Amino acid sequence: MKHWIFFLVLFGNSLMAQKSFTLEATLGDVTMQCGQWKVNANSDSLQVNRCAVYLSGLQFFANGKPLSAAEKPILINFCNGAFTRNQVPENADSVAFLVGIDSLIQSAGAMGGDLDPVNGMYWTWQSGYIHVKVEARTSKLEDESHSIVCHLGGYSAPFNSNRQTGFRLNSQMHHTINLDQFLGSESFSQVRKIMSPSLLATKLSDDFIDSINSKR
Amino acid sequence: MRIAASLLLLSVIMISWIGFQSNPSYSPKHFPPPHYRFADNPLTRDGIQLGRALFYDNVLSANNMVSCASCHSVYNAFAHTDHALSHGIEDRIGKRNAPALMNLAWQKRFMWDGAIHHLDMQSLAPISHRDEMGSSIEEVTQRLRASKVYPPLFEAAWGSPEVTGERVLKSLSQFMLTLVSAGSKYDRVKLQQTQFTEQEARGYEVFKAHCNSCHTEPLFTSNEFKNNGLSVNPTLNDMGRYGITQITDDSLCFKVPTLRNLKYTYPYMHDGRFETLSEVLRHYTGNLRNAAKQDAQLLQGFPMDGNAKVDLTAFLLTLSDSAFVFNPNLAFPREILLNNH
Repeated sequence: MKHWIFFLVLFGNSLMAQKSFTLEATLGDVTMQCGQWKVNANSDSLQVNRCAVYLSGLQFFANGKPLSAAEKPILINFCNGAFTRNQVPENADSVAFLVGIDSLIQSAGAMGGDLDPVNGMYWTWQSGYIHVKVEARTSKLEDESHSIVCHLGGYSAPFNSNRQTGFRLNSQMHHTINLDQFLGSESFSQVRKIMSPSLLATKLSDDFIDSINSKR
Repeated sequence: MRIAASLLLLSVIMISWIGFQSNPSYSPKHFPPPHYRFADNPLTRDGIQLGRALFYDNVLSANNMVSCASCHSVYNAFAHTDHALSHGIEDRIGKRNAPALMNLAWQKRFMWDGAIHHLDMQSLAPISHRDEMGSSIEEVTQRLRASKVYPPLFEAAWGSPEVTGERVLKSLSQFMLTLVSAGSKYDRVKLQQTQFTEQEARGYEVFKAHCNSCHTEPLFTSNEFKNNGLSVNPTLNDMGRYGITQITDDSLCFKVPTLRNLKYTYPYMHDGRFETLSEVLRHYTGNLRNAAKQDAQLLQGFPMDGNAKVDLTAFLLTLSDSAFVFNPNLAFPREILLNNH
């Protein structure tokens, strides 16, 4: 009986001592839902049809010390909803991850699971994973298709579009990627179809990171 | 338990690796260490057979009409003889000559422009290209799952009938890694099993003086990218490696192809513009002013008289490997594809 109480206390504590980390795609203040039109603050209509992102090396820290090993790359399809990592230790005060796939994995040959090329996140005309795939339509663009096709990739200089980022967590565990902000990037007024490693892709990778916010 | 499992796994990898290294048909003694990491994809008999079936099966193409072997025929040392530019589904024409496939474990980059950096990922390009197979790896895996032939082959090769992109690509790699050509007269001379004729020996000296720095022995390629002075075909406007790196110096640079089996792999160059070896030698012994400015050796040219050209040709023909071209283990897998489809 004593043992049972001991385990109950132990597991009860560990369950209570955990929290969740969420990353959600939004259009301004509202959750992004693929295929649905949204009118933004500038009265532009916006529709996101695809939004998929690779996160690599997700890791939580307390006082600068890692609480676990860096995770393998995760493919997040935001059309299926937000990404949530449960069982984050209560004492975690920061999180870090890479948006993209590092060069070691990029050059390791065919891989399975989230890294299987069947996921549509691998370029076929040249080697390399697509780190960020956003496809959208917006009334802001004057061309007939009103479409943006943004496939960001490239893992070596000078077109390395991998971006390391991280946040203080504190009480805020819900983070958002504001696609309205990202798709409003000045770069998209120049080029609407980005499907290869380039300097523009590296600039847009910076813009994508800038669109990640800690609150809605 | 975990340690035991790790040791077992390590042993399997080591045995596979040693097996590859010690098998003379896959890793010739006079070749350098391969670039491909066999530990990541150990060759197995069933994996190779599955890859061979996939290589020869039209199921990889959108209209079930084109296979890898359509442009990479075993009888042409896995090149596409008689076609300057390769053609794919619905008779669409590509913009490059299909390169000969051999000794792929020793290559670092694939395609004439080096767009592909790993053999496993190479097959994605022709499967997906509109002018080649016009399909996708997603579509291919769906078709293979629905076939009666393939799930048992996947089970034999990978331990379960599950068809994944990773397994398709690695199986294709396994077969392609067996395309090792090292049985030419040149190889037998290197292994001291025979000798060159006097003419071949003279040609070998010409080769070492003029050709070896790019077509480096024993693979007969340096795996580099070079502008060899060819004028741009205005109907293709192919800028070569520049299209991948966007670096000006890479403009009009193409991968140095191996010279092995060139008897079988005509026409020559990235766009198949030369049908004969004589035309190739005429190009290299002529004015190479279009060659990249930084390549002093190419700009200098390769002056040689008619006798030297004949001797060089005699040597180049010693790189023909008929045992490779007529190897039944590399040919159409009749027993799998004809009996089951």
